[in-house]
Amino acid sequence: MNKNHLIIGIGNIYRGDDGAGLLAARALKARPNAPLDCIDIQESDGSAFALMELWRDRNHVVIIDAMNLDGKKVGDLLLFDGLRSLLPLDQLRVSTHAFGLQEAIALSASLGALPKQLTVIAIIGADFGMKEGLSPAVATAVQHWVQEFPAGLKATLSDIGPTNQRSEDARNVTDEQLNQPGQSYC
Amino acid sequence: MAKGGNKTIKVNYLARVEGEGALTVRFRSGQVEDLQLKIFEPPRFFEAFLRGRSALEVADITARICGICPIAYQMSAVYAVEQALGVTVEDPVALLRRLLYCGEWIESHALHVYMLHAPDYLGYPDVVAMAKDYQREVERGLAIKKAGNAIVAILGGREIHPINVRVGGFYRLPLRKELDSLLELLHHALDAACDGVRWVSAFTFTQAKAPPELVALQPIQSAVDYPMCEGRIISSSGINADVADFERTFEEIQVPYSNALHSIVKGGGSYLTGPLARFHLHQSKLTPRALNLISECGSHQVDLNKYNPSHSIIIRSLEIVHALDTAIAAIKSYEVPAEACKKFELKSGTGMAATEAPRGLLYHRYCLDADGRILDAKIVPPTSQNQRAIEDELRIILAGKSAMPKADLSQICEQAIRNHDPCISCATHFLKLNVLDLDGLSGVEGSAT
Repeated sequence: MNKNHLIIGIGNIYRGDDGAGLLAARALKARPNAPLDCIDIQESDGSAFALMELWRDRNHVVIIDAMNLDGKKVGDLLLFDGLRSLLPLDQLRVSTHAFGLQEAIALSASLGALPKQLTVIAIIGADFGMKEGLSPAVATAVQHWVQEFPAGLKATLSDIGPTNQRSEDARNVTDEQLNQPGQSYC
Repeated sequence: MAKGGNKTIKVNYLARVEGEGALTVRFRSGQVEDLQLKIFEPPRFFEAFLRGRSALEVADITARICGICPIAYQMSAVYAVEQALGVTVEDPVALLRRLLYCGEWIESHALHVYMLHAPDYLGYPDVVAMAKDYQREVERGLAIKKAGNAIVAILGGREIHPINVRVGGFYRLPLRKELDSLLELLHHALDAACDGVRWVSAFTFTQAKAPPELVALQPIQSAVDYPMCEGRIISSSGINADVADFERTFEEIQVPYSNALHSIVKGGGSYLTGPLARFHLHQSKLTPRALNLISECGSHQVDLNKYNPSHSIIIRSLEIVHALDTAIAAIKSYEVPAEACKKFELKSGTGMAATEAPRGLLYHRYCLDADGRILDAKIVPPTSQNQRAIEDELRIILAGKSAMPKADLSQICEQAIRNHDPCISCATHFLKLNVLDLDGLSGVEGSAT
């Protein structure tokens, strides 16, 4: 399978809210929905080489991962353009070893192997301790995101525009963005 | 005062090594007065929480010690428990384990050679910067690593922290077609690995050094094999010991500045395990293809017969070739065993085993009760064993260099440490814990690892 559009859920379900990305991907995959049939959905522990292998030769990639960011409300979803290097990548809970999402993006850029579009959706978590299960607010956020994903498909899998903003609330993507000319996602 | 005078070099966070460590060097009157390789990553208490667990769980628990070399932990663990239980696995199962171990050597060495170590030789701060000018070579490294990962995924059930190894064999045997599906990938990786040896052998290397005591396994089953899954412990200064005598041959000592114990030869000093030791003790046992590549290295005026830690990048590259050759041969000769796992009964006993992790000798010992519960566990990883030898080597390297700019000294030190690919996360399972009972004024001292 080499569909142009790829969603990668990153995380560790044994580290509390860190599992949000993985659980979101699983829920999305389990949801019977025609628009999603043409999108590849994968899970990852966030190691750089696995991510690079997953997004090699893909056009549009969406990553969903948990984040621990001061000043943000637990359960908030933030939308980042991963190609503009404006991510607070040190806050993303990725690989326990030195190579994670940040290195995957940088190394892919050096190798000319980045997807055309890389969107990162960060779910603000609260508890990254050693346990299974999400905080209630994070679980609700994951559930909403999965339910609303088809509606936000255009926003997340099309060009989100020449914005230089650091982040945008993924649930408040502007109408302008939503109404951009659609692309074939299959 | 000698040129250079007093100076302290601090590398507060060692880059491009696994885990969290630091280095402090103090010069006085131009001489190295004190040198400390500090491992400050917190201890993880694996040996402690193995106690009371079933011996059947060791493969899955110890695999969690390291994301880079979980197979090494699984192999040393299951062979030690099998020794305690009197279990000997069938040859095809041993072959599969060797194949799985080859996968780990390939992926671990490829990560170190191409992503962590090569930038040192080419003057780049990291692989991201290097990849802009060496795209083909970095892609080569990724292709080799992918081949190693594929072996681990098929035999281990998944790439990271594999789950298919068990005491007595495997949970599931691979299908013949699954192994055959690896061959094309492995052959491509082998071509890439040979090119990789030629590439790194053209790098510029430092001068040869006086070798430390080099320690590696010597296979018993097949004297012509390069060490990997079993053997006696031998050294360049004449140690020849059964693995069961590991703790009578070596001892671990605590130093106040590190969360990892140092290993030394009992009554002696530091020693080094790992690719450099394996190569200098067993060079002739590499596959013919790897041996031919050694001859090619001579065209670059590289003399691999002389101990030189900066040659470790070549030696790891040769071990990748060896592991790929070995893996391909294993797949071709594989015959499906009668059973995935040998039948056995749990009983009391003590078992020890050592295997050759990518970074060096990895020793495990388990004492079991009559129900097969672990009463005591001991794990001695290669980085713990190599720490003191690395410190000793740094003292030699830094002699007479006190006048150099700090930045240059830091770079020399970091590169010298990376020659040995330390896995600090692995090494910090050890903490000698002193609990003072202030009421009773009695001290409890134990190996809370």
